[in-house]
Amino acid sequence: MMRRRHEGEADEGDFSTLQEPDQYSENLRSSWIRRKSKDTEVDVRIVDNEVTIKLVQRKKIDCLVHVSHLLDQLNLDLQHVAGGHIGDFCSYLFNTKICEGSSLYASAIAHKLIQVMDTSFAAASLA
Amino acid sequence: MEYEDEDWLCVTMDEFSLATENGCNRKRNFDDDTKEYKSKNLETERRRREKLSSRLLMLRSIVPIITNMNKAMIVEDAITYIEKLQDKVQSLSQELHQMEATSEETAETKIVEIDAAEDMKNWGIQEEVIVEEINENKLWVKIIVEKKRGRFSRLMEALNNFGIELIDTNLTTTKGAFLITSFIKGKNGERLEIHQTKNLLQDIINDI
Repeated sequence: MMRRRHEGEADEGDFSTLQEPDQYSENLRSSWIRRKSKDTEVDVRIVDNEVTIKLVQRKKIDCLVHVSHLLDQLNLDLQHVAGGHIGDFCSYLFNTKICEGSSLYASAIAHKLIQVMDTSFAAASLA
Repeated sequence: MEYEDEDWLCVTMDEFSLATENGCNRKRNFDDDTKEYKSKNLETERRRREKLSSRLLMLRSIVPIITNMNKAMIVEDAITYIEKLQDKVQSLSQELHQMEATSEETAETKIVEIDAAEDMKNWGIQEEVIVEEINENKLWVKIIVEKKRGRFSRLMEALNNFGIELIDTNLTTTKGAFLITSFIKGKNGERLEIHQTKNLLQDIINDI
């Protein structure tokens, strides 16, 4: 059964502006992208200066080690982390904030995450 | 010999094979007024031409600059327009890649760090490590540490190096502190001892 798209709901990779007249007087920058590779699925959403990352890794490797290092590299201030291992999967949700003066794109974050996860998995399987 | 219409060229396969079998040139029947060959395919050919004309008109409506109205020029202008668009796409994507590269590598970021220690002190929050046993090879830990950049990643790296695996993890930042709760176990099924683990975590926190 097809799910009806709600008004204002973004398509994959859609870039739009959100505005709530009662709360905000200015437009908020908003972007969302989803990327998939063989073993990793990443969902990155940016609203204003807040970045939410959902990560699902199909193989058990130390997700948190690699992702937390990458978040430091990207100057993302960690606010909240939740998740863990479910069978042979590991699933995490990261809430971060873009540091003042830094400029990031959802596509860049997603691409780097996929790259890091895939290379670390390749390294782990070789070891 | 030139004709305004090309319909006289249309010959059915039956007629063509008949002509080749007989080995003779079949005399073409032209209508004296129109000089058109009366073919069975005439209607089909007309429909084909109409379809082609309508598609060309559609193409003409999409392409903003059309220099001439003949078919060849419409197609040529469309090709030029598409090439321009492709160049634009390429230049914009290059620009985007450059922007991403500069934002990540060369842009000087003003990292505003709150004095976390001060904040924790004001709210009466103290650094602590609590370890509880869940079962034989599973422990629950609660860690409260001062929030500093890169501290969480260093903690994760240290735990990984000591062979501690985090099963379920929760991190919250509040009042200048990291509150981390997690279920942990030994990587290769090793049994973790409460006091030993607590001391290890305490040492890790002091180091990072």
